[in-house]
Amino acid sequence: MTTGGRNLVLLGVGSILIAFIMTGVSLAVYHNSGDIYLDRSRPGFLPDEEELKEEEVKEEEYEFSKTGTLSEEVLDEYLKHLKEEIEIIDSYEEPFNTGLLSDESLGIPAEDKE
Amino acid sequence: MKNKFSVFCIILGLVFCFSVANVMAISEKQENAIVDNCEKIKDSLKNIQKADAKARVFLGSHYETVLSKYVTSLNVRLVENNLSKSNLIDNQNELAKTKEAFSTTFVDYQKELEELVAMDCRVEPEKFYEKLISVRVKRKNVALGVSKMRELAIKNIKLVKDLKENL
Repeated sequence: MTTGGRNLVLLGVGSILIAFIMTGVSLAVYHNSGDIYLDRSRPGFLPDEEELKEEEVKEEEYEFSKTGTLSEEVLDEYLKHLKEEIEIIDSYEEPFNTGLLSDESLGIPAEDKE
Repeated sequence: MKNKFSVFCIILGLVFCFSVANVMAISEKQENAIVDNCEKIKDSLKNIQKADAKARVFLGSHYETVLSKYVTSLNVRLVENNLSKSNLIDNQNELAKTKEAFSTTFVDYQKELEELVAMDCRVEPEKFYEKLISVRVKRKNVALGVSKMRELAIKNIKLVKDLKENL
């Protein structure tokens, strides 16, 4: 093998090694930073069809303007929309319900120390 | 010197007893149930994991809306109108802090839950149950964050009502 050929092989192997190391580091950062748990695009966590439809139907969101004068009417409008937003949050049924992890829910008999 | 050594031995003994008591905090009946229903329990945990990811995205996006599109915008407007209120600023800061804590506690909880799902409950039912107890505590912290966020949003409504009356 000529020197040029050997250098070319070394360059190829080196590039592959660097790519592996960089991918490993990226995955470690992705996992250790906790981003993996906030990412719903990973397999098994993709939004179902119903959710996607809901997203499409979603109306344009209201945003309280940062400029302008303040009057009772303006604050009434703010309160009306904020209450609606809280109602939407409340409509999510029992998020992080602690009962789901209870012995009973998981089919483990009640504690019965001998 | 001898006394120090005795105290050290007593502490070591207590730590050992406490650890053993913790590991043994599961009855034979429970242990058998975990081993027998291992796959079923793991499937339930995976479903909970998926449902929780959905809840976090839903709540997280709405919390962001409340904070950036309502509370912060109102405070900016109040400053512009020379009507800035310290209680509303405090409320905004608390909302931001609680929202951040919600994300952190969620990540802690998910890490612990993932470790639980990865455990072999047929081989280590006691350790699995111990981990389950720890996951419950983490989940409770996330639930507390949800309640706190709601509480603060409701407080914002009250503060704005007061502001309206004194305008």
